[in-house]
Amino acid sequence: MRKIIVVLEDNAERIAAMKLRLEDRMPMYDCFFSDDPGEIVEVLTRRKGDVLAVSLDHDLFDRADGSTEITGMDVAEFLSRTEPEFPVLIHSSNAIDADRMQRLLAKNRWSVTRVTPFNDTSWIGEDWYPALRRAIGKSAMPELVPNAEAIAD
Amino acid sequence: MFGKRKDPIDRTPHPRSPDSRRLVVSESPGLYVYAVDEGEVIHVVPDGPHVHPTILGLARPALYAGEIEIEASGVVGEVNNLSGTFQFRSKRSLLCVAGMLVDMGFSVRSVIWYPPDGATTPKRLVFP
Repeated sequence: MRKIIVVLEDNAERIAAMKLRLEDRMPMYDCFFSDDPGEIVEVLTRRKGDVLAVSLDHDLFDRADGSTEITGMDVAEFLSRTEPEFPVLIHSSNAIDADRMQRLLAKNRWSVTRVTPFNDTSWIGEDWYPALRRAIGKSAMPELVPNAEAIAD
Repeated sequence: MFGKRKDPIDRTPHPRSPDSRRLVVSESPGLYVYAVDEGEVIHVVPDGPHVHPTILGLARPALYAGEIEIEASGVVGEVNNLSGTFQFRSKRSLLCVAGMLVDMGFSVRSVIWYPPDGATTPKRLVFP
């Protein structure tokens, strides 16, 4: 089964920009986007062991129900009760609540990277994607050069 | 030694980007996408959406392609094989790219190979 990148995001323009970048550079991975923390938790549970990275927004005001109670903290709380297995990005303009999410996850030994949105969606190419790739790269398993087999092309 | 050349999956003859240039050790810090041409020269373009086809342009084939992050002048933080346009799979050729960077005078901190099937985590190729 392919590895999966999981993103909690409610804004359609942001989702489109993130998908575009991931399809352009990492087409070999599955990607799952949702504005529903419950769905994200369900995927993290069902695909446990396949998750490459998670990126979480906090405020989800663009949800159809307009809820201000359902947030990315719901996913952070779920993760905080599990063993760290993959890097987490927090991409939220809400600095106070993003700090809370980061503290909760860091307290439970999760590797967390913060990305602050700016200027519409340009931050997705400039900051979010590079931060995601770096976080994934940090978790790469070492392989000695003499063992590097030659694969065609 | 590189493997066989490969045509871009996007066969549209995009013009070569005016920002495309031969990589030199004095290149400014930042994230770039690269392609190695048939003469084994590394060309780069500053990162952007779907820019791999514009590095060589006109749907020209490449010997390898991916991303290069230059952390500081002369220091490559990461070189990898991430390119949806070319989707190269060879570890050996990625190591060739890293070797070329070292020969050019770069210090290379990490060489990350992303498995083409997406089924396993990336590998950090340990580079002497």
